[in-house]
Amino acid sequence: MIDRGQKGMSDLAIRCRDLVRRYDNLIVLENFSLEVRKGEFVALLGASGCGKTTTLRLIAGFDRPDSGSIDIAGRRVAGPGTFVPPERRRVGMVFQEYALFPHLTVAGNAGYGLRRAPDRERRVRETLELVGLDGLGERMPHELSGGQQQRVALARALAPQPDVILLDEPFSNLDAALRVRLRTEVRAILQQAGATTIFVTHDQAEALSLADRVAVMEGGRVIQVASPEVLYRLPATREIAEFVGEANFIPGEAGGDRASCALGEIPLPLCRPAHGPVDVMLRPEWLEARPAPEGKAVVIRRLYFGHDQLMEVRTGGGLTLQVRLGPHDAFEPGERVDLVVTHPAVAYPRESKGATPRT
Amino acid sequence: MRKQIVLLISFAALVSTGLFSACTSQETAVEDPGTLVVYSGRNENLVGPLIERFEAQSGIDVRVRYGDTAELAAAILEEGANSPADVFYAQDAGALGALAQAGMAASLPEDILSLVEPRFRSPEGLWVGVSGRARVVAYNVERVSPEELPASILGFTDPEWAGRIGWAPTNGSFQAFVTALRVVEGEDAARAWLEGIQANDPVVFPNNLTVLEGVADGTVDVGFINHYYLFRKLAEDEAYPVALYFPTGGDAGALVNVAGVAKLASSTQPDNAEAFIRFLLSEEAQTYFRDQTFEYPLAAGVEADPRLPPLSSIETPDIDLSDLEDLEGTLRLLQEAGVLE
Amino acid sequence: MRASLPRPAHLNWLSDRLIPARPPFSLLLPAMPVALAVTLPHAYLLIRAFRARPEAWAQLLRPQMLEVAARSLILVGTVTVAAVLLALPLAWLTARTDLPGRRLWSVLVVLPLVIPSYVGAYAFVAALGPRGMLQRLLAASFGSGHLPDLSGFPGAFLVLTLFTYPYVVLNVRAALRDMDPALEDAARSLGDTPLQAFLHVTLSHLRPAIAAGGLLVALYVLSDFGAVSMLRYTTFTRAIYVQYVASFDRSVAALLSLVLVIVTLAILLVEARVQRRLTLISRPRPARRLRPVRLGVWRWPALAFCALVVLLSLGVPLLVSGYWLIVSVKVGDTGSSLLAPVWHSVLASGSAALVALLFALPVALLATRYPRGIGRLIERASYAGYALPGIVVALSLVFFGANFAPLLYQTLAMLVFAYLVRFLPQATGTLRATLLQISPRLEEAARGLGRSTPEVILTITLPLMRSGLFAGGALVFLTSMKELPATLLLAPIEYDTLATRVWSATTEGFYGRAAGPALLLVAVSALSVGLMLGKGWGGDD
Repeated sequence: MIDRGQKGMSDLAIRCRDLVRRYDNLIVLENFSLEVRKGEFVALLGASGCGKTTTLRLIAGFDRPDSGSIDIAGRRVAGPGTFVPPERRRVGMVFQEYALFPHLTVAGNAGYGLRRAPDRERRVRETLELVGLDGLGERMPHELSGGQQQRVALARALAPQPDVILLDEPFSNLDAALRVRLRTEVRAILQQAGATTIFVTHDQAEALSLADRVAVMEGGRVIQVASPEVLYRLPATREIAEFVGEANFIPGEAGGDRASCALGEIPLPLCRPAHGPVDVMLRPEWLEARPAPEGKAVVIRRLYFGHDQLMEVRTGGGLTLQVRLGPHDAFEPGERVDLVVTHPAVAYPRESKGATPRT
Repeated sequence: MRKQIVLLISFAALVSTGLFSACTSQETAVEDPGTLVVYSGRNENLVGPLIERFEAQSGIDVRVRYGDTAELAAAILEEGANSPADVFYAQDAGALGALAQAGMAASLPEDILSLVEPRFRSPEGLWVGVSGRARVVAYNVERVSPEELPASILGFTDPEWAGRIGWAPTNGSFQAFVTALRVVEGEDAARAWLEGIQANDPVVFPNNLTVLEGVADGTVDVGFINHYYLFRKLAEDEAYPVALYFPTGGDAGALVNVAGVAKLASSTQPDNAEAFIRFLLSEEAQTYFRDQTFEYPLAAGVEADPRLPPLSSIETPDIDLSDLEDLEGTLRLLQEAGVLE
Repeated sequence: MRASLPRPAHLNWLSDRLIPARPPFSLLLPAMPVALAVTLPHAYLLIRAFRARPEAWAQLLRPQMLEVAARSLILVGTVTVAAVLLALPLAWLTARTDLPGRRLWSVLVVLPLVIPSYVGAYAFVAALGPRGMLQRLLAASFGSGHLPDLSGFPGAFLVLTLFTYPYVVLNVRAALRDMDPALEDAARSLGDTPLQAFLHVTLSHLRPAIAAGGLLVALYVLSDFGAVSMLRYTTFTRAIYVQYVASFDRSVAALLSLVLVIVTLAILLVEARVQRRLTLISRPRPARRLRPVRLGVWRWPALAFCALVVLLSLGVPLLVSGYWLIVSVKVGDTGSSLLAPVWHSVLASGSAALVALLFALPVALLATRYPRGIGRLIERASYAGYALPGIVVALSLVFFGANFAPLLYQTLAMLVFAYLVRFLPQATGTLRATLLQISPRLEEAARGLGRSTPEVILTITLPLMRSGLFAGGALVFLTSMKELPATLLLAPIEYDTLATRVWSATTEGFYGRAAGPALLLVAVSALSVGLMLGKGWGGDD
């Protein structure tokens, strides 16, 4: 356990280093590394099959890495010659399908991890209160709604006060309205419990809105770890840019902190200078449309969302771009507009196949 | 759930005590000098009472494992020198021959062997016959007169018997008879006979007893069976309308097979084993066979049931009974003749 | 509008089929003696086969053997299909509908399992054969009319189907009870009629259970001796038996048995192919209460169907036994006391059921939760011995017992062990089918909450497997009750059971003395199974 960076050791809740997991010849995780601080709420974001769930299972101890190591709260739980079984890891897991024990009551489920704790009953009561299920302890799981089942799963994981809580696509089984309400609630509950949390999701909105930090995975590796703001504003690759929110790509030529393209000269962030042929990425809200009868761009269509709008315009050069509008702006299809860049863009080296803007 | 678990646990406890007591009783049984272990291929319903009598008279604790003759013989062969058995009491001579051939039967003393005619015991003195059963033709006395019956069983291939014959081709005794037929008359004659009977469209029964019942209720006029089944029926109903006909002429039709005993070479109780064999050949036991199982007594000068022709009058085919072991060839023949599927 | 990260297509399947880590020691340890036990008969066969004379090998290559193989396979195939077709409606009617007297029917339809096939076959010939009781009745009332001959293939097919279909019923019913009814509801909501929903959703969900039950039927048929010998249809088992009777040649019998093992392996491969496509592990949605399907007018044909099957499979043997009993009472020859045989039967079979469950559990857990490990292998190996005729397994244990474990030889422990070797797959198969319906996520959740593997099995897996446990136990119990070859050779000496009493009386034609033990065999089994099924399936009735 002698390692560099001892200073940060004590407040690291989870540390995964170079995890590799293969099934036969399939590499599911390839040199996966991640550090999570105590109390932090980290999202693992990626498409299905990218290795997110495998990562959770490795951390929980349901699976063994082929190489690499995992430390939880400063204790080595998996690594060469070491394997701590799941029951001794103090990790709580909430499964995608909740995996509630159908033959136990709500209280029985919540208290399952407490076993012979002297204050078992009190803890169960407190935890059920925390998740808002007070009074339902004697119900059976099948008598509950989906949202309530989700809370039971959460209570069950929280009751033993684990060092770490893992959530596997916890909201994917719920309808949209419930999902939005529940995820803020769950966030609050976990924050109140002071739990370190990793949760897996393929929903970028969920990841951005809940997490302190987001780790984006692809093909078994972490390709970017950042706060939601940084992830959104400075995606490391064009794939991430596309995955996390809407993105316009415009071919251009970069020279240090500026790039020139069909929309003119655009500033690039100082931390991400670029050179040569690039695709310039602009979020729709980094563009502003101004009514201009002589404008070079034409409005194609407008999608109204209530809190904002998304408008598609075609530029003189034949590019189709998305522009975010405020709720009150009114443009009609066919109307001519001018586009103004209001925010530094991010440049990615040009893809060889040529850049057609994608939405 | 809890109640069930308690139930399960108490059952498990019961079982384990049962296992334990079974183990211990086994051990004490082995050490008791006054015991005898018999593997009996003869049925408990037939010989059980007789063995009880022996136990009462001799004071020997006889423990019997009943089973199928062939399976018990195979088991003794597998057990080898560790066989717990002292005596093998077999339903037919073939199984005794197999044991003798494997060197697992001990030679019997001359005074035992001499009690039985040579044709009903092992030429090497390794087993001895205890009781005999004859292959006979049973006929319905209301439908058939004795004069109609052919002199030899070979005569039933005549078309006049079409649709009138009943038999049980899966029965072991019947198959032993066919084997004897092959040995005595030759393969071709045996095949011709089977095909001839088959051409007469015989009625197939599952066993000897049902053949006999078929004869009695007129389903068929004649049936090929072992002789003793009729006497059991007669004991229940004196007016049973069936009589027996003993084919004459020294051919396979006059086969008398025996049930017999061998003493195992590995026996730890050889004296008790011999005492048991002597008992089986005693007048008392032989009388039992005559009166209770209606078999032919083979020793002690006990005459057969008066309703039966005396054994001395039956010209049995001249073969060693333990040679009737090529059952496989017989079964093949039965299949080829279309008798068995 | 949302773009997605490109991902390698070959990784897609992983998200659904999570492969867990190495199996824990606590499961491997108890599975090892099982592996040893189930390989004993094979070891014996190899020993015997190696000592075979060259002529013995020639016996194998005769054209008759091909014919015997073909007959065996035809019988296995037809009986298995017929048993499944018979069992599906029976299982569904007794598990999921408001059939009048459902609890009673659910016991009655599995009871035929307890009837030894030679007794069943004899009863059929005696009752329905060309010269049977029914024929005589017909002749008495209508003058003539001929019932078809029951011997050969038709008889063997009929009798074996009627006495093996309960294997499928027990498995399928357990699966039906553990199944999530939401699946059927979903199909209904998508426009399926109840029948379509059954065919589309339920049936595909039942496939592991059908396959497990069908496998038991197929292998039972392969190993059966009683019915085929009574009905004169030569299969492998009969050919093997003939070797013992005919020439006391254990090597040829061993070679034939090895061929049988190979046939069994082929059947196992077929079953594995069926199973592979359905390693469906149901999602751990809390099961909702089952609402019985209302039959309405259909309950009359349903009742008639159940009654017909029970009449044929249970009624015929019972009627024939009852007839024997009446005759024997008239003659005054009913045989000796049956107290000891009843106790012996229940003790040995009950222990076998308990021990089989105990040993089957780790094997089934390994086979379902760690399908790539050795567990699957052990489970499969146990089936390979299951198709062997009882006498072969019994002789192998005679050989090993007498020569290597003389202290245990011919004790109750040995007998229970023999039942275990013979019937273990009935337990492993049922437990495996049940486990496939319980999501491994539940067990993981429990481990994540700090419980060790044995604790998780006790508090989560076992309670959820209740119906499967009782079904598996009932199967082993019923089959052990009627077991003969091992009982005759391996039980403590003079340990007579109901089955040996029936056998002993029928072989010499003392049918009156067979009636008592035969009826008691059915009654005691009915009582025990009623208790087991009542508890296992009571729950939410």
